[in-house]
Amino acid sequence: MSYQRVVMNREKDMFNENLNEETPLLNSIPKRNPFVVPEGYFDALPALIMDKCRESEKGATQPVADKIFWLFRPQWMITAFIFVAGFSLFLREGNKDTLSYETIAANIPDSVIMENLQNNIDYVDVNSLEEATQNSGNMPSLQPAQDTTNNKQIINYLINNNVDASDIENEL
Amino acid sequence: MAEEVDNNDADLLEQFRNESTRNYAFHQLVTKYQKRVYWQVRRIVIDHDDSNDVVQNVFIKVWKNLHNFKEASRLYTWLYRIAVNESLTFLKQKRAPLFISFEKVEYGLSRKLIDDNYFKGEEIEKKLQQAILTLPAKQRIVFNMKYFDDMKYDEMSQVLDTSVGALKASYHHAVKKIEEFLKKN
Repeated sequence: MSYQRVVMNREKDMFNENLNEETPLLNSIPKRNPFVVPEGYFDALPALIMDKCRESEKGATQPVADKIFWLFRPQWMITAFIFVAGFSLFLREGNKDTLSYETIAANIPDSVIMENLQNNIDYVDVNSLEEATQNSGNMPSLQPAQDTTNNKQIINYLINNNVDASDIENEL
Repeated sequence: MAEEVDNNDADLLEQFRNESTRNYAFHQLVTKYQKRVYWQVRRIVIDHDDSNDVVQNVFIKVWKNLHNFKEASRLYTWLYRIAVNESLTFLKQKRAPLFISFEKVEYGLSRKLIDDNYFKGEEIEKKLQQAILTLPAKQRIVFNMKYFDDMKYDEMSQVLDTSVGALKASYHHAVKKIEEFLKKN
């Protein structure tokens, strides 16, 4: 055992000697610690570490109530609010595409409807139109013109729509 | 192996296991080993503030796990291993968020030496530290352990969980690389 130790030590010395010969620059540098610490650092360090250890234990045994309270911290509440508001806005924007036809129609000006009907009057089936309006339940059923309808109103309508007297005569 | 445990360390461990003397024992342990642990960490992470953080993390880990210490090795060897692992973890975390390469992190540490108020070495010593920073992290640790602490390879083997032969080779290569760096710079 002692013989082996001697051999190992000799090998170690040879290893070191060879290395020393091969690294003259490194050997010329003083082997000392060039780093320093702030004054009093090591005096204060044990107490600081003890405090940290106690804190780490406190964190591990945090009461449930504290954990729940931590979840409801203002930062989290604001974040949750922004998320909910943003999501609601997203849903609202998305629902625009699924509006009902009735809603869409209600937003179309009457003048546009009239113009469309007039342009396509030949293709509109008055009977089916009347049935549709009666079935909708939301719109009043078509009523015959009242006798109280003002002649002046009729004339104005005819004039505004370029209805010729001869056209009326032909219809009758 | 159990007889390797320092008698004083054995007393400290026994006091630590006793609830009433736990804090006192740990305070004594920190006071005894703080400098050795700090300087091991400092040589790896270079910056004092970073070293301060890592050292605290080391002792918090010791606090939490000392009851599990099996006494199969010296207490200091066990502390040293935690210190090395925490230092390496710290360097990895420095890289991770920004996907910074090893070279850039070590280059950053090297630049810190230039203006560091807590570095009081001569110019050649600064060059040596910069040379050491060009080594891979583990090789740097091997070099520091051997060159500055004159640590035995057997003990280094226990700390780094690496064979003695591999450690010798690593140290040999480290020394050669440093010599090359010093010649070029």
